[in-house]
Amino acid sequence: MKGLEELLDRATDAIESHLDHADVLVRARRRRTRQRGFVAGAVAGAAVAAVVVSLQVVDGESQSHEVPPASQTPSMSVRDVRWDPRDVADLPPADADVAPLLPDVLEVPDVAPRVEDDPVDAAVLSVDDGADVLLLGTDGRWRCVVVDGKTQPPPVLSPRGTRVAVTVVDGVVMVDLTTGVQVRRPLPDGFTPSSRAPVVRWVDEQRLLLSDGEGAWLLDADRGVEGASATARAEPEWTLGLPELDPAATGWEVGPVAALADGSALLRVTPPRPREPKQWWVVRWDPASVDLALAATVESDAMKHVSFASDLLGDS
Amino acid sequence: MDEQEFTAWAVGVERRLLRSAYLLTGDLHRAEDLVQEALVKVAMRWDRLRAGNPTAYARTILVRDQISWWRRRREIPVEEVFGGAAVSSDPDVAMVVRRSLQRLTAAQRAVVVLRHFDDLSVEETAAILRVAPGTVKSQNAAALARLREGAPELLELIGRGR
Repeated sequence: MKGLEELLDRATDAIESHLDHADVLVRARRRRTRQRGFVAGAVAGAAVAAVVVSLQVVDGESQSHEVPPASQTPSMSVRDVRWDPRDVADLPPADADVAPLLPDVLEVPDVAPRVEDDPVDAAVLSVDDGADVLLLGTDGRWRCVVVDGKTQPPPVLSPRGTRVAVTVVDGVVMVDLTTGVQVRRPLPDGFTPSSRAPVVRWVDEQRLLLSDGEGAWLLDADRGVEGASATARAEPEWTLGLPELDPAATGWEVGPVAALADGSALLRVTPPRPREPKQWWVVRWDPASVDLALAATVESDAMKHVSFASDLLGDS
Repeated sequence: MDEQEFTAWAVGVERRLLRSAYLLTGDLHRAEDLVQEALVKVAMRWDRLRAGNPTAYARTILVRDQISWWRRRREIPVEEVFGGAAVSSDPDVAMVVRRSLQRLTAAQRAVVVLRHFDDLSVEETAAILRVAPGTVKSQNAAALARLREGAPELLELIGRGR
């Protein structure tokens, strides 16, 4: 539309700025001070450490299966964490090439087409809304997966987002998102999903690792239980040190989402509840430079029951 | 941080940013808040940004903050206060432009401002909005079509200007 540029220019030609630069500098200084002041003194050894699940899973014929670590879990350490999660909304936006599949602002819809009616190449993340599982496709559209009898632990998305595992009362339903086909596998004998710290995690796009703290099992989407170990323990995949942040005092939580190819990490930052508007954030953290930036703002109630396709997010 | 250097940069860009923010929001007070917040964030990172393109960074913050604000409210509110004389030497043009932009969705409005006022390329606009270049093109086409259909007074002004 020729002439639009000139009109926009004319429509604003009397605007003058009266910003107080001294005030801008004071505000910037105050925020920087607050970030630094929150950590009183350098914190040696504060770390985002990928504590890899290391298991020797032995099948019925005493054949050993080495469970590979979750991919892209570099060991990271940082000397000093100068950040207060309560300032998360003040972080600058991350560069556009950081987790490009993650929208800047993410709104979880109330309804979406079922994945069997509208399959998707892969999903970036899944959200358990209590009733169904909602999935954000790599095409930017939402789908849903409906599984009867869904229970805890919450659904888990595979590293490249082609499958989601949904725990049900008597088994695990593995849903192929590229077709919508659901495969229901019974829970391995001995597995207690109600244990204090059950782990359900995809090893790759095909195999699921189940652990209840006492034992661990490998469940193949096509072949069922592949191996088990009565003694192996699954350690947390990540631990995050923000030693000066007392979660009990603030109620804020910071947890891992994915490791990116450049060595930085995506973290989930969730505020205490209740809070309005209902928001939480995905933050990129470069442990080397202690540089933090906002990768996404999520507008949703579902703060905890979100699973990310970690390898997919790491693609640039 | 070199505060003098930052201030010199801010003096050079803030009016353009403010005009852009006003076109995005239709509210001069909101626009001033957006620009101030963007400048604070630039100031916080000035040592890292000064050698690059701090203006692009400031514009990115400004647009994303506004989009986030829109989305929290789910719609663009109709601005009640209009200070035409305060924003333009031609209050009639200011009024028509403001009303025309109100006909657009949040994304369309952002694309129109970035492409037709800030003179950014499709790729630069896409990077700020974190969408594909094709989305920028389609949003721009949809916005212009909506302006043609729904804002004849804008067309009339453009025709008169030729």
